[in-house]
Amino acid sequence: MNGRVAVVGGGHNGLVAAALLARSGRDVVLLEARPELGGLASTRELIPGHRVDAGSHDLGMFRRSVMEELELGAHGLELIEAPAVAAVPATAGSSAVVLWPEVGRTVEGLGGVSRRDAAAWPGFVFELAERAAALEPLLSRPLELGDMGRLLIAPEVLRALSSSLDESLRERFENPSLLAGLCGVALPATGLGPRANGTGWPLLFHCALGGSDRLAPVVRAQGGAGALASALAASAAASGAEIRTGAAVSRILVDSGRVAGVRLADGERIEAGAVVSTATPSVTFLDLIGAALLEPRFVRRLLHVKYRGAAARLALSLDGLPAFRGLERPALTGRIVLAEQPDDIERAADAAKYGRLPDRPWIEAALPTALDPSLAPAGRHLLLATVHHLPFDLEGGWEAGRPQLLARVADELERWAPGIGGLVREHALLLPTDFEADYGATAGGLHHGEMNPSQSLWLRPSASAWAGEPLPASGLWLGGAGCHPGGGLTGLPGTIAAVSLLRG
Amino acid sequence: MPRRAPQGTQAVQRALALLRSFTPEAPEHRLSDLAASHGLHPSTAHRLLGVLEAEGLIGRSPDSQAYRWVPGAPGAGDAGPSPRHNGLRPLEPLRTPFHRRTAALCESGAWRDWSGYTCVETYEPTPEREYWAIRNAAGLIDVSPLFKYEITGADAERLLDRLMTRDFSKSRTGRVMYTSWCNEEGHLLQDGNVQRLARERFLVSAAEPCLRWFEDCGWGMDVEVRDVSEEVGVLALQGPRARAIAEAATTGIDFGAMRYFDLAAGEVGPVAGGGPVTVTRTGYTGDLGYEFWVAAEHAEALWDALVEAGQDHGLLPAGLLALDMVRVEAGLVLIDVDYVSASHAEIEVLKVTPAEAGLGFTVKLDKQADFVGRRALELERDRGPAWAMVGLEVDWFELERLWSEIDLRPQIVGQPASREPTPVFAPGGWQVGQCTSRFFSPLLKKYIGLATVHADAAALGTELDVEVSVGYGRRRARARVVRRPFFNPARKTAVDPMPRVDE
Repeated sequence: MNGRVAVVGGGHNGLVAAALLARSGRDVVLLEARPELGGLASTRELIPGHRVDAGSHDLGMFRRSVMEELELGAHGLELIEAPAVAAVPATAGSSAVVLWPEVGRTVEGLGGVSRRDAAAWPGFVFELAERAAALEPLLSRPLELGDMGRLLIAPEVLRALSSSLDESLRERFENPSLLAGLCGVALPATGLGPRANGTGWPLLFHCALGGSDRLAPVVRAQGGAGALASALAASAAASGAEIRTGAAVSRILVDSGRVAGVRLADGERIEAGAVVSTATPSVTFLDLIGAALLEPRFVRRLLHVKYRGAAARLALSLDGLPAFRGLERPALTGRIVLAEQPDDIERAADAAKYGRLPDRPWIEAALPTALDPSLAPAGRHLLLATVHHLPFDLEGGWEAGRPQLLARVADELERWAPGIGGLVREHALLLPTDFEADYGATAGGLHHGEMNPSQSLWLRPSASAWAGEPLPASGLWLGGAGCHPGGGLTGLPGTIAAVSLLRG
Repeated sequence: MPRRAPQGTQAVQRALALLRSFTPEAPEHRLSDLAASHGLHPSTAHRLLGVLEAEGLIGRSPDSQAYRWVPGAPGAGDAGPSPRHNGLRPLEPLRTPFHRRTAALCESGAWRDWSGYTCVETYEPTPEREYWAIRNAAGLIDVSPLFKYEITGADAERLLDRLMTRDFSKSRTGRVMYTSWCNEEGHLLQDGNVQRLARERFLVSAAEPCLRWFEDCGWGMDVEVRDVSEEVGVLALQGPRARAIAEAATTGIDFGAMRYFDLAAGEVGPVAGGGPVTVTRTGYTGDLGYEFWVAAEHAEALWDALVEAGQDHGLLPAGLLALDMVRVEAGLVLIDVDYVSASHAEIEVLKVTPAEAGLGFTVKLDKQADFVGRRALELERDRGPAWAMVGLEVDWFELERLWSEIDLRPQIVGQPASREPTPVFAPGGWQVGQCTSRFFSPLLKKYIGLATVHADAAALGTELDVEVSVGYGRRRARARVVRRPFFNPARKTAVDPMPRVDE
C-alpha cells in the first residue's frame, strides 16, 4: 500500500491535518485549488493595499494545544487578544451593551441598562461555563460510545442545546440589546432565527471551544487570518509536507473500495494510499468520488444535508474609525452586533427562509484595524460587515440582489454609525454565490453543513464514519468543517482526521 | 366471445355495444335514442344500462334525463396522476384501460383490488374454465396494474447494471431480461422484467412502486426514470393457441422469429394503422404466451382484436384466480406471497436474498458493474444461502386418509390456490419453513406447493411434513421436495411454436 497521504483542500483544517501528519512522519501532499492558502480563513487583497479576511478572522476557538504542538509561534504566528467579546451599539430606541471577558466589567456596564440583567450575568456565565465544560471533551476528539452517557447525565446540557436560544436567554435577561448581542455571537452562519429550536446549540459550541471558563474572547492573528494559514503551511513544510496551491482536485480515485489517490483538474494523477478530504460532504462524495460508487441510502443522506447559513461579506475601506453610538474604542475591538433585539435576527431569518432579502439585514461587524493597523494603508480603517441569514437561492437571483443588498446594508450601517457613509473610500463584496464558487462552500453554507443539533455530534459525519456506517471507501478520511465537531476556526476536524488516520 | 351460454352471450354483446356508444366525444345519450339506434326494446336497453350504471361504467346526467360517459373511465385520458406511486391506496378504485371490456364480461361480480385497480378475480363463478383455457387453448389476462418505469438516457444501461443483479452489459435491444433487485444488504426488493426497447431506452415492469429507489440509485447519472404505469395497458395472452391468436390480431410482427423473451414492435389489428403495440414473449403462466404493451388509447382496440382473433381458438378472458393457479404450476414465486420484499419486511428475519427466494439464477456475481447489494451477495456465495425455495408435492393417499378420519373426501380439489402461509416440518419434528402457495393442480392431479425451507432440508426427494387443515383440525401430511417447475411444456420456449400443435 502506498504510504502517501493526499490532503484535499488547503483551508485551515487541511493545513492542520497535513502539518500533524507530516510531523508524525507521514509522506504528505496538500492540494489547494486557489492561489492562496487558508480557504474560508484566508486573507486576500480584495481592496488594493488592504489585507481583507475573506471569511473567519477570529481565532478565539482555535486549539491552543495544536498551536503549541505545531510551533506556530516559531513559524510566524502572532496573536492579538481583543479586550472586548462583543458589543451592541445604541440606537435611537435602544441602549449600548458591551460584553467583556471579565465578568465584573460586564456587570458594571450592564448596571446602567438593567439592574436585573446585571445581577443575572455572573450566574449565567458560570452556568454556561459549566455546561460548556461538560461538552468540551466530546468536541475535541473522535466521539466514543460512552459520550452518549455523558450527555444523558447532563440534562441541562441537553435542554440547552435543543431549546431555542431566544427562550433560554429570556429565562434570565430582559434587555433587548443584551439579548441581541448574545444571539449575534451564537447565530452567525446558521439559517436559523433565535426562536428556532436547536439554536441553543451554537452558543454552547462557541463557549465550549472558546476556553470554557468565560465567553470566548476575540483573538486575531497579526496580519489577518491568512497569517494562521501561513504559519500552518510553514510548520507543515518544515516537517516535510509538500504544499501545492493552484492544484484543483477533480477526482478522488477509488479502486475496489480502496482509495488509490487523486486526479487533478489538469489530468495529473497523484498516487496515495490515504486521502483526507476537507471539502464539504456533498463535494467529497458526489463530485470527487461520484454517486455511482455510493450506496443509494448514502446518496439520500448526502442530499439531505442542510447547508443553510449563507452570508455575504462586505469590506469597507474607511477614512477613519466609524462612530458607533455609545461605544468607546476598546469596545470596537470585538464583534459588533448590529441588531436591536433578537427579533431583528428572527425577521432576517424569516426572509431568508422564503428566499428573500431581509428588509433590514442584521450585520456582524468587525474593525480589525482597531487592533492591527497594518491591515490597511496609513490613515485608513477596515470594516468587515458580515451579513448573515441570507438565502443562497435568492428570489430573482443575486445579480439583481447585489445592489439591493448593498443599499440596505448601507442604510443599516448609517443608522448604527451616523456619518459612516462619508468615510467609505472603497469596498469589496463577497456574495453567498462567491463563497460557493471560490471556496466550494456548498450552497454558501460557511460551516459545511448547518450547525444545528440534527447535524451535530453523532449526526454529523466523523473522520471515518457517518451514522454508524464506515465511509464508502477505505483509506478515505474526512477532515473538514462538514464533519465532527463542525464549522468555525477551530482546527478540530483536521486534528481529529489526523489522529484517526494515525490510529488507523 | 366464444362463451358457451348463448343467452349470456347476447346480453353481453348488447351491453358492450351500448357501452361503446359512450365516448368523450359523445358523452350523453337518452334511453329512447340508444334503444332505437341499437335496435333494442326500451325495457331491454333500460335493464342493460341499469347494469352498466350499477357497475359504475356509465353514470346519469345531472338532471337524470340521460345516461352519461364517466370521466376517468379507461381511455378517457383525463385521470390525474395516480397516488399509487407512493404506495397509498387511492380513494377511488382505479380502472385499467381494459376495464370497460373486462367489466362487461365479469358475470361473477368477483373483483379484487390489485395495486389500487379493480380487477376481475374470475369472470365466471369459478375459475375452472379460465384455468383450462390457459392450459388447453388460450387465456386473456389484464395485467395492467403492474408498475411500469421507462428508463431513458445515455446512462440507462449503466443505471440498470447498478440496480439489477443481472448483467445488463449483456442485454440487447429486442430482448427482455428477468431480474431481481436488492437493497444494500443484498435483500431482495423485487423481481421483474426489463425490456430493452432501444440502446438507451428500457421498460421495467414491477409489482410494487419503486420510482424513488430507481431515482436514488441513478443520482448524478444522465438518465431519466419516468413512471408510465398509467399510460400503458398490458394484456397477457397465454396458452398453446397464443401464437395463432397473436398473429391474427396484430400486424408487422414475425412471430415465427420470436424466441422466448424476445420483444417486437407491431401494430394492433389485422391491418396496419391500428396503433403501435409492443409484444414480448413472456408471461406468468409457464406456458407459451405473449404480453402486449399498448398505450391506453389503443387498449380497447387491442382487446377487441385479440378477442376477435381468439374466437376460433377457444380464447377466454381469464381472471386473477386462474392466473394464480397456473403460476404455481409454473413454479413462479410471487412477491409478498412467497417472499416478503425487503422494502417493507417488518422484521429482519422476513428478508431474503434472491437465492433464498429461488431467484439465485438472476444474480450474476461475475458481472463487471458494482450493483447494489453485491458485497452482501458475495458473502452469501461464500457461506451459502440460509433458506431455499422448493417445490413440494403432498402425498395424495395421506390427504385422503386424513380427511377420511372425519368421513369426508379431501376438500381441496377444485379450489383456487391458497396464499395462507402454513408451517412445514421435518418429518415428525421441528418446523423447518413455511409453505406459501399451494393448490390441487387439476392438470397434474397433484397437490403441489411452493415452500421456503432451511437450506439443509431442500434437497430433491427430502421428505417433509406440511400442515393441512382438516375440518377444524390441524394435521400434518407427508410431502416430498420435487423439481420446479411442476409443469414445463416444451412449447413455452420452443423456437417457432406451431400454432395448432398441442404438446
